[in-house]
Amino acid sequence: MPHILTPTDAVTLRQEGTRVLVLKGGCLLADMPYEAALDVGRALIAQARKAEELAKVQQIIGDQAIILRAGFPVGLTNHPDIQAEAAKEAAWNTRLRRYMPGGVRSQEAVGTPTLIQHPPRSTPPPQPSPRWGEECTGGGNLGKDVR
Amino acid sequence: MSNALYDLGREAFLGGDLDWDAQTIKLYLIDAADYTKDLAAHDMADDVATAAKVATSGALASKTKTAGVADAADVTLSAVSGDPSEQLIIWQDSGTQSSSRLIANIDTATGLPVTPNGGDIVVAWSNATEKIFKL
Repeated sequence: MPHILTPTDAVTLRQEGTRVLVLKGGCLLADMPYEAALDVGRALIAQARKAEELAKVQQIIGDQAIILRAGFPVGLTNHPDIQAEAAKEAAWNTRLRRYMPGGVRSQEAVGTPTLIQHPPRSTPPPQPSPRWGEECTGGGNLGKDVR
Repeated sequence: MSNALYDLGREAFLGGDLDWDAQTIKLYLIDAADYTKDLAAHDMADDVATAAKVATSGALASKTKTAGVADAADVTLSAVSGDPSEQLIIWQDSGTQSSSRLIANIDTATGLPVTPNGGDIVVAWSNATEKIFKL
């Protein structure tokens, strides 16, 4: 049976009738019916997504932490370790609020006080000082006979 | 706009740096022309320009904190004169502006804005459930 020589060792896929062939460097690696090829394809995507999750773990933790802080019940990952790390970030990373529009909503309530403005205090007009020789009326009984 | 607590004031309460009934809490009457509030970033009294502080109260008295609700006796700002004022700021006085924490900003109150006339201004706290504020 003649072999087809290919210039590289790249993996290539071919369809022959109802079968799918996997070749590497012109050598047949796998020959499977289309049903099996579909299963392998789905399995490859699933494994690739798991690998991508680990490759982008820091970004997922950050995004999941923001979602947790916002109280939005959506999970970006099923990986328990990543979820635990995101929960820790949500709880302790005080810089997260910078990435949230409007900051973290609080249940605080501040009352509405009332300001009551009073008129200025009236001060008594200054009394003219008594002239020399005038009887001092504000001095009480000093110098007077009180008997 | 609305009445609100400063983010870093809330953080200080949770971190144990603010103690409502043990520390000295005061009130500023603020001229908003000289102060733009930033609830997320402002934390200390030195974030408020001196020109904005139209009047400063004495220490709030009879403070209570039952069920996380802050309350105190009504406070009087004595013989207030200066620019028209649009806000109140509740703050903790440590004795140093750079370490005196901002707690709450009030820009919605009956009687605000107020144009000082040299007389006293009495701030009567709300008797609703949240009193001065509720954490």
